[in-house]
Amino acid sequence: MIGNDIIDLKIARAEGKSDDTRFIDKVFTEFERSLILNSQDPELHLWILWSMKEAAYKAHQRIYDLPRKLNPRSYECQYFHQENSGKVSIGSFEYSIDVQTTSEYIHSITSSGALIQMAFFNGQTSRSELLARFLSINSIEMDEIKLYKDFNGVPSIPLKNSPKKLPISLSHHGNFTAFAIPLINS
Amino acid sequence: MSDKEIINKIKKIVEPYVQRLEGLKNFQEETDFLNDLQINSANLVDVVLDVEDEFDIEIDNDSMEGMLTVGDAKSIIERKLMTR
Repeated sequence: MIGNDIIDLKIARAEGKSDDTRFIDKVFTEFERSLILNSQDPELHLWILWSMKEAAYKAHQRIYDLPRKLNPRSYECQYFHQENSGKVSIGSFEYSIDVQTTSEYIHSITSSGALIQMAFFNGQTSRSELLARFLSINSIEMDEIKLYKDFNGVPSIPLKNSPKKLPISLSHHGNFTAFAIPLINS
Repeated sequence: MSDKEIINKIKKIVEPYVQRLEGLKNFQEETDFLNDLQINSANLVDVVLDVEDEFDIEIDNDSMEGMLTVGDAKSIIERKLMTR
Protein backbone atom coordinates (compact mmCIF):
# COMPACT_ATOMS: atom_id res chain seq x y z
CA MET A 1 0.00 0.00 0.00
CA ILE A 2 1.40 3.34 -0.98
CA GLY A 3 0.27 6.86 -1.82
CA ASN A 4 2.03 10.18 -2.09
CA ASP A 5 1.39 13.74 -3.16
CA ILE A 6 3.58 16.75 -3.79
CA ILE A 7 2.60 20.42 -3.80
CA ASP A 8 4.74 23.14 -5.35
CA LEU A 9 4.17 25.97 -2.88
CA LYS A 10 5.08 28.70 -5.31
CA ILE A 11 2.10 27.76 -7.46
CA ALA A 12 -0.19 26.74 -4.60
CA ARG A 13 0.31 29.89 -2.54
CA ALA A 14 -0.51 32.03 -5.56
CA GLU A 15 -3.97 30.43 -5.65
CA GLY A 16 -5.05 32.11 -2.43
CA LYS A 17 -7.50 29.32 -1.68
CA SER A 18 -7.74 30.05 2.04
CA ASP A 19 -9.84 33.11 1.13
CA ASP A 20 -12.07 31.11 -1.19
CA THR A 21 -14.96 29.95 0.97
CA ARG A 22 -16.70 28.11 -1.87
CA PHE A 23 -13.58 26.08 -2.61
CA ILE A 24 -13.12 25.36 1.10
CA ASP A 25 -16.74 24.20 1.42
CA LYS A 26 -16.36 21.73 -1.44
CA VAL A 27 -13.11 20.25 -0.17
CA PHE A 28 -12.94 20.46 3.61
CA THR A 29 -15.10 19.39 6.53
CA GLU A 30 -16.17 21.78 9.29
CA PHE A 31 -13.42 20.46 11.51
CA GLU A 32 -10.77 20.96 8.83
CA ARG A 33 -12.01 24.40 8.04
CA SER A 34 -11.46 25.47 11.64
CA LEU A 35 -7.94 23.99 11.55
CA ILE A 36 -7.14 26.01 8.44
CA LEU A 37 -8.69 29.30 9.43
CA ASN A 38 -7.30 29.23 12.98
CA SER A 39 -3.75 28.48 11.92
CA GLN A 40 -1.04 31.11 11.62
CA ASP A 41 -0.57 30.36 7.95
CA PRO A 42 -3.98 29.32 6.57
CA GLU A 43 -2.78 28.94 2.98
CA LEU A 44 0.04 26.58 3.94
CA HIS A 45 -2.26 24.65 6.25
CA LEU A 46 -4.87 24.27 3.54
CA TRP A 47 -2.37 22.75 1.13
CA ILE A 48 -0.95 20.45 3.80
CA LEU A 49 -4.44 19.03 4.36
CA TRP A 50 -5.06 18.81 0.64
CA SER A 51 -1.85 16.83 0.02
CA MET A 52 -2.69 14.50 2.94
CA LYS A 53 -6.10 13.82 1.41
CA GLU A 54 -4.54 13.09 -1.97
CA ALA A 55 -1.96 10.69 -0.52
CA ALA A 56 -4.67 8.84 1.44
CA TYR A 57 -6.96 8.77 -1.59
CA LYS A 58 -4.27 7.15 -3.75
CA ALA A 59 -3.48 4.50 -1.13
CA HIS A 60 -7.17 3.78 -0.49
CA GLN A 61 -7.97 3.53 -4.18
CA ARG A 62 -5.06 1.13 -4.71
CA ILE A 63 -5.88 -1.19 -1.81
CA TYR A 64 -9.57 -1.54 -2.55
CA ASP A 65 -9.43 -1.34 -6.37
CA LEU A 66 -11.75 1.63 -6.34
CA PRO A 67 -12.81 3.65 -9.36
CA ARG A 68 -11.65 7.26 -9.44
CA LYS A 69 -13.73 9.79 -7.56
CA LEU A 70 -13.55 13.48 -6.82
CA ASN A 71 -14.61 13.28 -3.18
CA PRO A 72 -12.05 15.21 -1.13
CA ARG A 73 -14.55 15.96 1.65
CA SER A 74 -14.95 12.27 2.39
CA TYR A 75 -11.32 12.15 3.55
CA GLU A 76 -11.01 13.85 6.93
CA CYS A 77 -7.61 14.96 8.20
CA GLN A 78 -6.03 15.44 11.57
CA TYR A 79 -2.66 17.13 11.39
CA PHE A 80 -0.01 17.04 14.13
CA HIS A 81 2.20 19.97 13.38
CA GLN A 82 5.00 19.12 15.80
CA GLU A 83 5.34 15.57 14.54
CA ASN A 84 5.11 16.41 10.83
CA SER A 85 2.46 13.77 10.54
CA GLY A 86 -1.24 13.25 10.46
CA LYS A 87 -4.10 10.86 10.02
CA VAL A 88 -6.72 10.72 7.34
CA SER A 89 -9.93 8.80 7.80
CA ILE A 90 -12.32 7.66 5.12
CA GLY A 91 -15.32 5.85 6.53
CA SER A 92 -13.93 3.32 8.99
CA PHE A 93 -10.46 3.30 7.41
CA GLU A 94 -7.56 5.34 8.67
CA TYR A 95 -4.24 6.23 7.05
CA SER A 96 -1.15 7.60 8.82
CA ILE A 97 0.58 10.23 6.78
CA ASP A 98 4.10 11.63 6.98
CA VAL A 99 4.21 15.23 5.93
CA GLN A 100 7.39 16.98 4.89
CA THR A 101 7.10 20.73 4.55
CA THR A 102 9.82 23.05 3.27
CA SER A 103 9.56 26.63 2.07
CA GLU A 104 9.27 25.25 -1.47
CA TYR A 105 7.11 22.18 -1.29
CA ILE A 106 4.85 19.89 0.75
CA HIS A 107 5.20 16.14 0.35
CA SER A 108 2.73 13.75 1.96
CA ILE A 109 3.17 10.03 1.97
CA THR A 110 1.50 6.98 3.45
CA SER A 111 2.72 3.42 3.19
CA SER A 112 2.40 0.13 4.98
CA GLY A 113 6.12 -0.65 4.99
CA ALA A 114 9.57 0.79 4.64
CA LEU A 115 9.93 2.70 1.44
CA ILE A 116 12.14 4.51 -0.94
CA GLN A 117 11.12 7.98 -1.78
CA MET A 118 12.52 10.91 -3.63
CA ALA A 119 11.59 14.41 -4.54
CA PHE A 120 13.08 16.03 -7.59
CA PHE A 121 13.26 19.69 -8.32
CA ASN A 122 13.62 20.15 -12.01
CA GLY A 123 11.37 22.06 -14.33
CA GLN A 124 13.25 21.09 -17.47
CA THR A 125 13.51 17.33 -17.18
CA SER A 126 10.68 15.21 -18.56
CA ARG A 127 8.80 12.88 -16.26
CA SER A 128 9.92 9.76 -18.11
CA GLU A 129 13.54 10.89 -17.81
CA LEU A 130 13.07 11.39 -14.05
CA LEU A 131 11.41 8.00 -13.78
CA ALA A 132 14.29 6.36 -15.64
CA ARG A 133 16.74 8.00 -13.25
CA PHE A 134 14.70 6.96 -10.22
CA LEU A 135 14.55 3.34 -11.38
CA SER A 136 18.24 3.18 -12.16
CA ILE A 137 19.19 4.60 -8.76
CA ASN A 138 17.08 1.87 -7.17
CA SER A 139 18.42 -0.86 -9.48
CA ILE A 140 15.00 -1.66 -10.89
CA GLU A 141 15.03 -3.06 -14.40
CA MET A 142 12.25 -2.63 -16.89
CA ASP A 143 12.11 -3.63 -20.54
CA GLU A 144 10.75 -0.29 -21.45
CA ILE A 145 10.40 2.77 -19.22
CA LYS A 146 6.65 2.79 -19.25
CA LEU A 147 4.30 2.49 -16.31
CA TYR A 148 1.49 0.00 -16.28
CA LYS A 149 -1.88 1.44 -15.30
CA ASP A 150 -4.75 -0.77 -14.24
CA PHE A 151 -8.38 -0.12 -15.21
CA ASN A 152 -8.71 2.42 -12.41
CA GLY A 153 -5.59 4.23 -13.57
CA VAL A 154 -3.47 3.03 -10.63
CA PRO A 155 0.20 2.82 -11.71
CA SER A 156 2.77 0.09 -11.20
CA ILE A 157 6.10 -0.97 -12.67
CA PRO A 158 6.21 -4.17 -14.76
CA LEU A 159 9.53 -5.77 -13.79
CA LYS A 160 11.96 -7.23 -16.28
CA ASN A 161 12.00 -11.04 -16.45
CA SER A 162 9.24 -11.30 -13.89
CA PRO A 163 5.47 -11.44 -13.93
CA LYS A 164 5.44 -9.19 -10.87
CA LYS A 165 4.59 -5.57 -10.83
CA LEU A 166 5.99 -3.16 -8.29
CA PRO A 167 3.52 -0.60 -6.95
CA ILE A 168 4.57 2.99 -7.51
CA SER A 169 2.98 6.25 -6.50
CA LEU A 170 3.95 9.39 -8.34
CA SER A 171 3.02 12.98 -8.05
CA HIS A 172 3.84 16.01 -10.11
CA HIS A 173 3.13 19.67 -9.43
CA GLY A 174 4.87 22.70 -10.87
CA ASN A 175 8.61 22.16 -10.63
CA PHE A 176 8.39 19.09 -8.43
CA THR A 177 8.03 15.43 -9.18
CA ALA A 178 8.00 12.78 -6.47
CA PHE A 179 8.04 9.01 -6.76
CA ALA A 180 7.51 6.44 -4.04
CA ILE A 181 7.86 2.69 -4.12
CA PRO A 182 7.61 0.19 -1.27
CA LEU A 183 10.68 -1.84 -0.42
CA ILE A 184 8.60 -4.73 0.82
CA ASN A 185 5.73 -5.91 -1.30
CA SER A 186 2.60 -4.59 0.26
CA MET B 1 -29.49 24.56 -24.40
CA SER B 2 -28.14 22.04 -26.90
CA ASP B 3 -25.50 19.41 -26.13
CA LYS B 4 -23.08 21.28 -28.32
CA GLU B 5 -23.63 24.58 -26.53
CA ILE B 6 -23.08 22.94 -23.17
CA ILE B 7 -19.91 21.21 -24.35
CA ASN B 8 -18.54 24.45 -25.81
CA LYS B 9 -19.17 26.21 -22.53
CA ILE B 10 -17.43 23.42 -20.63
CA LYS B 11 -14.46 23.73 -22.97
CA LYS B 12 -14.18 27.43 -22.27
CA ILE B 13 -14.36 26.81 -18.53
CA VAL B 14 -11.64 24.16 -18.43
CA GLU B 15 -9.18 25.84 -20.80
CA PRO B 16 -7.27 27.87 -18.17
CA TYR B 17 -6.62 24.70 -16.13
CA VAL B 18 -5.56 22.38 -18.94
CA GLN B 19 -1.94 21.26 -18.83
CA ARG B 20 -2.04 19.06 -21.90
CA LEU B 21 -3.24 21.42 -24.62
CA GLU B 22 -3.22 18.62 -27.19
CA GLY B 23 -6.21 17.18 -25.37
CA LEU B 24 -8.29 20.23 -26.33
CA LYS B 25 -8.02 19.50 -30.03
CA ASN B 26 -10.35 16.57 -29.84
CA PHE B 27 -12.69 17.86 -27.15
CA GLN B 28 -15.66 15.53 -26.84
CA GLU B 29 -17.82 13.71 -24.28
CA GLU B 30 -15.18 11.02 -23.77
CA THR B 31 -12.48 13.59 -22.94
CA ASP B 32 -11.17 12.84 -19.47
CA PHE B 33 -10.32 15.88 -17.34
CA LEU B 34 -7.44 14.19 -15.55
CA ASN B 35 -6.01 11.81 -18.15
CA ASP B 36 -6.57 13.64 -21.42
CA LEU B 37 -6.34 17.25 -20.25
CA GLN B 38 -4.11 16.71 -17.20
CA ILE B 39 -6.08 19.12 -15.06
CA ASN B 40 -4.85 18.65 -11.50
CA SER B 41 -7.44 17.58 -8.98
CA ALA B 42 -7.46 20.87 -7.01
CA ASN B 43 -8.19 22.67 -10.28
CA LEU B 44 -10.92 20.15 -11.01
CA VAL B 45 -12.69 21.53 -7.94
CA ASP B 46 -12.28 24.98 -9.53
CA VAL B 47 -13.89 23.62 -12.67
CA VAL B 48 -16.87 22.47 -10.58
CA LEU B 49 -17.18 25.96 -9.06
CA ASP B 50 -16.91 27.64 -12.48
CA VAL B 51 -19.57 25.31 -13.87
CA GLU B 52 -21.86 26.32 -10.99
CA ASP B 53 -21.34 29.99 -11.82
CA GLU B 54 -21.69 29.64 -15.58
CA PHE B 55 -24.92 27.61 -15.47
CA ASP B 56 -26.27 29.02 -12.21
CA ILE B 57 -26.65 25.60 -10.64
CA GLU B 58 -25.42 23.91 -7.48
CA ILE B 59 -23.35 20.78 -7.80
CA ASP B 60 -23.71 18.69 -4.66
CA ASN B 61 -20.93 16.42 -3.39
CA ASP B 62 -22.51 13.26 -4.80
CA SER B 63 -22.58 14.76 -8.29
CA MET B 64 -19.10 16.22 -7.98
CA GLU B 65 -17.73 12.75 -7.13
CA GLY B 66 -18.45 11.51 -10.62
CA MET B 67 -17.44 14.53 -12.64
CA LEU B 68 -14.40 13.07 -14.40
CA THR B 69 -15.16 13.50 -18.09
CA VAL B 70 -16.78 16.12 -20.30
CA GLY B 71 -19.74 13.78 -20.71
CA ASP B 72 -20.10 13.42 -16.93
CA ALA B 73 -20.13 17.19 -16.57
CA LYS B 74 -22.65 17.55 -19.38
CA SER B 75 -25.08 15.05 -17.82
CA ILE B 76 -24.80 16.69 -14.41
CA ILE B 77 -25.43 20.14 -15.90
CA GLU B 78 -28.45 18.88 -17.86
CA ARG B 79 -29.89 17.17 -14.80
CA LYS B 80 -29.43 20.24 -12.62
CA LEU B 81 -30.87 22.57 -15.26
CA MET B 82 -33.94 20.41 -15.48
CA THR B 83 -34.63 20.46 -11.74
CA ARG B 84 -33.80 24.09 -11.29
